[in-house]
Amino acid sequence: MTRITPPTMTMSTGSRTLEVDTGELLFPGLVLAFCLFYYWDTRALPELSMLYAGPLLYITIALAVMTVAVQAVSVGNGNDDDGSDDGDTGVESAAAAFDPDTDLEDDGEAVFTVRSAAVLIALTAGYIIALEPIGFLATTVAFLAATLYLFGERNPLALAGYSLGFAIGVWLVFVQWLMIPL
Amino acid sequence: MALTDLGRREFLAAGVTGLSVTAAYGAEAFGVTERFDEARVTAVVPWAQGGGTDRAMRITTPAWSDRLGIEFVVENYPGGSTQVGGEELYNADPDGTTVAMWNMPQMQATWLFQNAPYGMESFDYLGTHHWDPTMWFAPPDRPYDDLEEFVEYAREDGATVGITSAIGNTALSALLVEDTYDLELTVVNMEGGAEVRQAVLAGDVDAGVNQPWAFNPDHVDDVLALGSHTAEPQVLWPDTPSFADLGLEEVPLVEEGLGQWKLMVVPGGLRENHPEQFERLAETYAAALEDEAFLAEAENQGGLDEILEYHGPDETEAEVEETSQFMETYADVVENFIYDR
Amino acid sequence: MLGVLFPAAIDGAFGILSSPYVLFAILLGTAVGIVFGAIPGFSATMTIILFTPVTIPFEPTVALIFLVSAYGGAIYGGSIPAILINTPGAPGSIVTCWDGYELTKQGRAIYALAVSAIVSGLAGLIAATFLLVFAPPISDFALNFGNPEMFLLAVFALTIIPAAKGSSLSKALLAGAFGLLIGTIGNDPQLAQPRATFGQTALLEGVDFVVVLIGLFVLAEVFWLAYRGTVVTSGSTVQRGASEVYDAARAVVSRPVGFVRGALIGTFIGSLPGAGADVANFVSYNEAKRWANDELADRFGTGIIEGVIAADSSNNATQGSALIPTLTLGIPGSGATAALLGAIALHGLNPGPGLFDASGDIVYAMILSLFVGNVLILVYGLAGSQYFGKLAYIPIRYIIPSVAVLAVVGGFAVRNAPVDLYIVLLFGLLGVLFVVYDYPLVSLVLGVILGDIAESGFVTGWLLTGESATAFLFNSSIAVGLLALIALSLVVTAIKN
Repeated sequence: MTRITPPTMTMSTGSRTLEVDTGELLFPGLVLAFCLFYYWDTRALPELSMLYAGPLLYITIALAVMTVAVQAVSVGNGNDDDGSDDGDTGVESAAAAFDPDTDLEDDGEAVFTVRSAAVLIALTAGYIIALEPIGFLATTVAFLAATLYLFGERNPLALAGYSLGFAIGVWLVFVQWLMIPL
Repeated sequence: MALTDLGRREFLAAGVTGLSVTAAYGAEAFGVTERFDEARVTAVVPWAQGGGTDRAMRITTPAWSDRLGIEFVVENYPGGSTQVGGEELYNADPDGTTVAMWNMPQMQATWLFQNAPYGMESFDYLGTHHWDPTMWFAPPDRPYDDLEEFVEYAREDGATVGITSAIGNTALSALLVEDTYDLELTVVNMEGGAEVRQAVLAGDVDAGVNQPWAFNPDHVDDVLALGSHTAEPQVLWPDTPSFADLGLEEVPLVEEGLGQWKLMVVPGGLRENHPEQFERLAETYAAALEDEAFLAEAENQGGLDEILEYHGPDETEAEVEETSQFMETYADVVENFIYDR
Repeated sequence: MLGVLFPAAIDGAFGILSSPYVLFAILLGTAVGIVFGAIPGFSATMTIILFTPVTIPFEPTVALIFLVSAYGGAIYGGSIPAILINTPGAPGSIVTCWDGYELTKQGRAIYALAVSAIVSGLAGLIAATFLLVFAPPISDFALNFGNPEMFLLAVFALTIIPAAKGSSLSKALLAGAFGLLIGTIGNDPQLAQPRATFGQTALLEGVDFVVVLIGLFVLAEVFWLAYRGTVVTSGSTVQRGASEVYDAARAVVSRPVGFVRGALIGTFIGSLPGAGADVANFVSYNEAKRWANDELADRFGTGIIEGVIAADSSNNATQGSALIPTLTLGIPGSGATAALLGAIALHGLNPGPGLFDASGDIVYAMILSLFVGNVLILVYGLAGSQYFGKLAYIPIRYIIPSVAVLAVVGGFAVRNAPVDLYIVLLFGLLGVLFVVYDYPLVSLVLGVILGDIAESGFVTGWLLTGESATAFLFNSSIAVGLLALIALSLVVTAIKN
């Protein structure tokens, strides 16, 4: 429930099996899609404009293909040997710090879930989209209140007070004083 | 038990939040929050803070504000060789609350050589600010003392020339010199006046094209001034021959003088629809340029007071027209530079 | 040394500094800098940019000293959220997270904050001394970095990340190359032709790295927080009070080598054009790890104080030295000094070689104000560490929306472009993907930061060295040295993998 794992696809031809970790394909896939767009967008540009970006584009494509080959695809009969290498490389990385299993606080009321994170992302997207047409104060108050509510604040006074107070404070400092044209 | 309690609290929370959002929206919609803003003119600068255009704008607005009785807020919109700021001005309402300081011929280049959605008619012109001539500089240790000798030198085995932006007066000057004398120059865009100055001081290039005020007259002793792209010698950099002095009249635009204008522009339609507002802006702007505090400040800014050159709205518009025409005349020189390298 | 050269200017500078307005500007500027630096997403660069217009009504000395103080305060302030909620307030504090946040999880936030304040203030003092004494020779050396050298420096910075973070080489290089590619979005440096701008005018200027940073490090962290729910592991006891500050002082005093090494690395890197606190803290952390014995090296990233010392001694040291090329040559050493350079010009001073002659008293007053400012960082930091520490215990439900709103405001403030908000959101999502699949976030950010330096260094260098690869790569002995360093860090990472 706490973790969405993209599936691992297995294909076998005879005694050989080919395993593809589809999750590991996500970022290299995104990069390749961006590279394709980049290539299409810059195909008519003068050579000098692409003197640096052109070779960089090909290097990026090569690295994306290499990453797919190294990280996502494993060939073999047994699958454990290849997989354990990947595990080693990540030990010191940031993901260790974010490991949800060790950090998740068990406070009974499960407000911090994949679902609430997804809702937060949707709320943030909505906030950004609504900001221009509706205006800074109203959208900010609405976003603050909705997010506070999502994460378990139920006291109406705290909800309204904090949303209004914080929004007006930010508005006074940034829009009125520092003159950011929000 | 928990269900009804939660329901009531949620109802209350939703109600109070809804009221807050409505209040905030109402405040914005009915202009309560605009109360602070009503007396402000947005001054758009299509360059980053600290650049020549930014400095010129910021020393002008205080004196202008005094005469107009309205506060100015300078906003920088750098990027796209001034196109980002240009579109900001283009999209602003022509109600007298937005002005911009732009520079020519960079301004024309954005609609002639880039895909800017606006053109000359999209704007009204309040007046010019100053004119900085195009000038060639070189590191002091080179075997040439002026542009004529540089041309001879470059004819032998080519030379590297640094310019301030891809399309503009410095690029045009470099390309016209190259074209006229059939030279093989490596024209390198250093992306800014400070960078050209640095490349010349470090001896990375054989020559750099810039404007004397932008180059900064404090460096008079550190570099060699090869010549200015004008008929008459310019005033800011001592002992620098003009192209005409050097007998380089064959280069186009020497007679007219190739340089960089800074001018004050407003969204198009203001002059026609709100003539009295346009007049008031134009008159107070002209008066601000005579202001003593402004002139003192301009003198502090590397002798900007020496090159100030004000023309009124009609003359400015004619100047914009003229610059557009010569940029179109030499469009093929610029386009060859872009597409044949 | 310089006092002999410019005795009158130094006297004038002391005169300026003794004015109560100027002292108040330092007091206020440092405090404002710490607060803004501590707001995730507000870098020293942005703090200077935001406050420059505010200083216009004041006379140049007061205004510039205020901005210089805010600059130093902001670099230090960036470490506070890095330690408390694993969110660097500024790029110069990314590395501070690695050990600082681990200490917070162990309940030792105040200890980590106090160490951070001590090393930041002291390293800042060391760098300010360097600025005062060694400005001329260091700026001479930095001037030798031509275009090819700047390109190679950028490549070197990218190759040391996998070595520093122990990440997979292919993932780190892919993230770095993608970052460099993102850095090429917008008009190309030679012919101003638009590349991959999606038809957005604001993108002609490219993707601003502060926007990317806000997305990857601030918004992505907020999204994670929504899922993870907590900063402090429940059940860990929180050490409080004066004993933690005392421990912190002892921790620094007993590790003089680590502290001085970090300060010197920060001073050197800060003086290089284009490289600031963001690069210095990586290099310093990596060096600290390399110098450590095997047993200690393995514990980097698990919450050891050596990691915090390495990161925070280097980032504040960059300020003094970044001002060397800025003040003597008019070349900014970092984004923050570029913004400061704009402010200097705005207040009517002409940056460049003539500045010391023309405005020596103001320039020396700025340099001397660094000494006062860095002592203040120490004082504010130590006095505040007990209170800052409590920030980590603010309910998460309040932190999430507040930081998200500030990220949006900050993302917009960078250059008033609505499209930047969508870029913040995109990179926020990308940041989540990076954490799940273990890509180093820093490789991507550094790629974007170094993109402009790398591209203009490569293209300008290529054209000026006659379009010859050998002339480019062997342009100078510095270039050859950088090539050797790049090869070394690639080989080291490959062997480690």
